[in-house]
This record gives sequence, structure tokens and C-alpha cells, in this order.
Amino acid sequence: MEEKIWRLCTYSPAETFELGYLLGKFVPPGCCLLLSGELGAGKTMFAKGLAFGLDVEEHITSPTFTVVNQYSSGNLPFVHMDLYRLQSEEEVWERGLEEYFDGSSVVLLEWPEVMRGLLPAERLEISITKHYQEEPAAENELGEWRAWELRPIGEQAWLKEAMKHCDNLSS
Amino acid sequence: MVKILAIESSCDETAAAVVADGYQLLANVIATQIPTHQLYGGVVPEIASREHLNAVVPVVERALDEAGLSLAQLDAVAVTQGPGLIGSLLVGVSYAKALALAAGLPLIAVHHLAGHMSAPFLEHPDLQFPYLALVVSGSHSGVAVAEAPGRYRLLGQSRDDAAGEAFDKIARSLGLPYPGGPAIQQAAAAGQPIYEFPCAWLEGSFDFSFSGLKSAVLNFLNKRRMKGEPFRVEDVAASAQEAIVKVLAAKAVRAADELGLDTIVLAGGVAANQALRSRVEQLAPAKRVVYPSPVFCTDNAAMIGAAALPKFARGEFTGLDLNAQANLPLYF
Repeated sequence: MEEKIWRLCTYSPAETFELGYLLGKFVPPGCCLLLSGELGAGKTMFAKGLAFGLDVEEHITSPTFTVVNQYSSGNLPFVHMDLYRLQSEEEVWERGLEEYFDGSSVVLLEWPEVMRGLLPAERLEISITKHYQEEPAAENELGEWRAWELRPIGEQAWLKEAMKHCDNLSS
Repeated sequence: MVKILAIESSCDETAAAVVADGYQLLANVIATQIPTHQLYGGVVPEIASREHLNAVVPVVERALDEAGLSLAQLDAVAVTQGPGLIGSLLVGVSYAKALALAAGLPLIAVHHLAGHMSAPFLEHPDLQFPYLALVVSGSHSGVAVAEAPGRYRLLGQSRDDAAGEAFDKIARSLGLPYPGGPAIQQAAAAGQPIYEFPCAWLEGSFDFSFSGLKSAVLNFLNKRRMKGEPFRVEDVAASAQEAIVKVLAAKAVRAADELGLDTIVLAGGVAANQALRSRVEQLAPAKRVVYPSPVFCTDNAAMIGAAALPKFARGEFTGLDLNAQANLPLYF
């Protein structure tokens, strides 16, 4: 199957939030989104946007320590998972994490590498790379921007719809 | 004498304890204390195992052994109902229900944070309600008022990263070991808080946010490393610790002042941080500041037993249809 990779950039936390929000508006039940990127890349901000798009009312807090946070106030059950602390697939198995891919929840999975062997066959793989401008503008002292890559694995028709609304973010 | 068996399995630790009247601790067991070969009877399973499931029976047996009690000599079984990881919570809740049914004992459901807030009673049974509790750990940063036994009101909580998580992630970026709290504290002792990292005060709210601080420290390190500018890890550690402790202490003391509370309880893993303790004491010299020993700061079942005692006294039992709840709110 043809594999379309979507590439875009965000230049502020607000844009990162908006990207999450747009995906949250279109994502179907059962979808699994993998999110990779270094510390401080904007994963939490993206998660907050995604949850906002799903109409989740609660504050989205980091699942790093708890590994899984679940939210039920939105349009779809939202599962926010973070494998940062886990070292092996055995630790994933011990926590029964593969059971959250139940076909009804939207699962956002941060630091997914350790779970490679237990992922659903169809998913959206998102990676963020942090960049620094050579000569940062004065008002944005850090001069950072993020490059995003969205790689659908299997049929992800909804993504095309969502991407139509991402024009202002696309590079 | 009332004797309660308590079980905690909300996150990583499988733990059991026996607590008696007057907050006497008769046994306190955490799975990680037990050598693996004892847990698995000499055979470490080759197939990946569900850790809590393997640990809960030996941990409870060990606790009863240490207390010198049989199931029949207990008065109740208490268990953490939530919040936490649903699969982990279920193991504790299901086993507690089975024990209660088999032994004909009443069952008591405890909120994990109510447990943390009750931990100081184990060492300070004279502690008086009401008090202000600052609960800070890897997964929680919250300010709550403990109005009476079993009556808690959450005033504010983390909006993104918990304080303990900020310590862990900043420690990792500095090349310091896990867990980050003790490592940062140690490094900070040899440094000076010479860098000003941003504190999210979230004025008018008792909520916390530490995600911005984490990013600021990472950006600071990136810039310094890219430009080849030197810095001392100890100074960064001291500055980051200062930024975390400053907000935690100020909000706890302000909440206690506003509500006219004379006692501040520090609970959760980050309560072991010396700088946090001294800052709270320094900001509130007229108040009593209470914090548990490190073993009662991190997740344990003794604190669940401590929170269950007043519930037993009031006859607040739960049915055998009790369900674990991953995002259980803190009721009052």
C-alpha cells in the first residue's frame, strides 16, 4: 500500500496545541497514536491539544509516573500512556498495557519504543524533532521550531480529512 | 484492639501492612523487600509475569506473619481503590475482596492520596485535625485540607508534570541517577542557586505546573552545550531545586494561612526533600510542620491502614461489589 508521510512544522506551543486539537477532532475510536520526541519536544502540549479536540474536560497531566492516565469526559474514551520509565517489554506485559488497545478508546502512546512488539497493526506514528534557528529573533530568544512527521501504518482515512485543516501548519 | 490488614497496589509497589488502634504498626511489607526467589518459590518464571499478581499473596502472608496474626484475628481488610493503574489496582482490590469474603471481614476502601495524608499519624499519633497537606510525589502535586478523619478537600493540583517527575527528568538531563529527587538534593548541596529558572505561580490558584521549568532547564543545557559554555551541574541542580521548592512551600503556607490552619503535613516521596522541609518551616515558623520518615513517604500499605482506622471507627465499610477506579476523585 502507498504510504503517505505528512510533514509539517510548528513554531510555538500554541501551534503544537492546535495540531493536537485538529487530530483530536477527526480521530476515530480505537485509533492508536504513537508520539516520539525528546524531552521538551512538546509531547505534553500536543496531548493537551488532542484531548481538547476530543472534548476532554479534565487537566491532562503527565502519565510518566502512573504510566497510564484515562479520561472519560470526552467524546471518546481517551487513554494517555507513557512508557518513559519502562525498560523492557516484560514491564509492559506486567502492567497489561496491550489491553488498552480495545478498539473503542483513542490511545496516545509516548515513548513507545519498548512496546514495539505489542502494538496494534494499524496506527499513526508521529515524531517530533526540535530545531534551533541559527539567528533567533529577539522576541523569541530560544528560536526553536519543531518538525513533525506523521506516518500512517495501515488505512488511516481520517488523517487526510484532518490534514486538510492543517494548511496553516504545513511546510 | 482493632487490627486492620491493608493492601496497596496502585502503581509499582505491591505492599501489605497490619495497623492497630492508636496507629500502631504491627507489620509493613513491600514486595521489593522480598528476594525474588522467595516470591516465586525458587523458580523465576520464564514467561513474563504480572508482577502484582505474583507478589500479592506472599506479601500479605509475610505481613500476617510479621504481625503474628491469622486472618481470623483481624477486624477488617483495607485496600487502595484508586487512583492508579487500573490493572495494578485490580489485583489489590480483587484479593482484598476475596480475603474479606473468605474470612467474613468488613472491607474498607481507601483513596491513595488519603493514605499519603494519613501517613504522619503512624509516627505522630497526636496529630490534630484540621491540617493542611502538601502531597508531592512522582505522580501527584496537590494541596489539600484534611478537615476531619476521612474528610479531605483538594485545593489545587498539578496541571502537567508532578514535582517528583520534574526532579526525575531534570536529574536525567544532568546525567544524575534515578530517582532524581535524592540525586538533585545531593548535587544541590554542593552548588548555589545562581540561575533563575521560571516558576509557574498560577496566581489565584493552588494548582502547580512544572512542565515549563523542565523545558527551561533543558533549553538552558542545550544552549550552553551548543555554545560550549561551561556550567556546574551542582549549580543547575541547586537552581532547579530552588525553583520547585519555592513554589511548593509558598503555596502550602499560603493555603494554611488563608484557611487558618496551624499544622502543615508534607507527604509523598518529595516530602523527603530537606530543602522543601526547611523552606516550609522557614516560611511558617509559628506552625507545626510534620513529615513522615522516608519509608512512609513513598508508596506503602501502612498509610492505607492509617487512613482506614477512622473509617473503621465510623463503620464506613464497602460492599464486595467494590471496583478499582483509575481516576478516583478525592471526595470529602
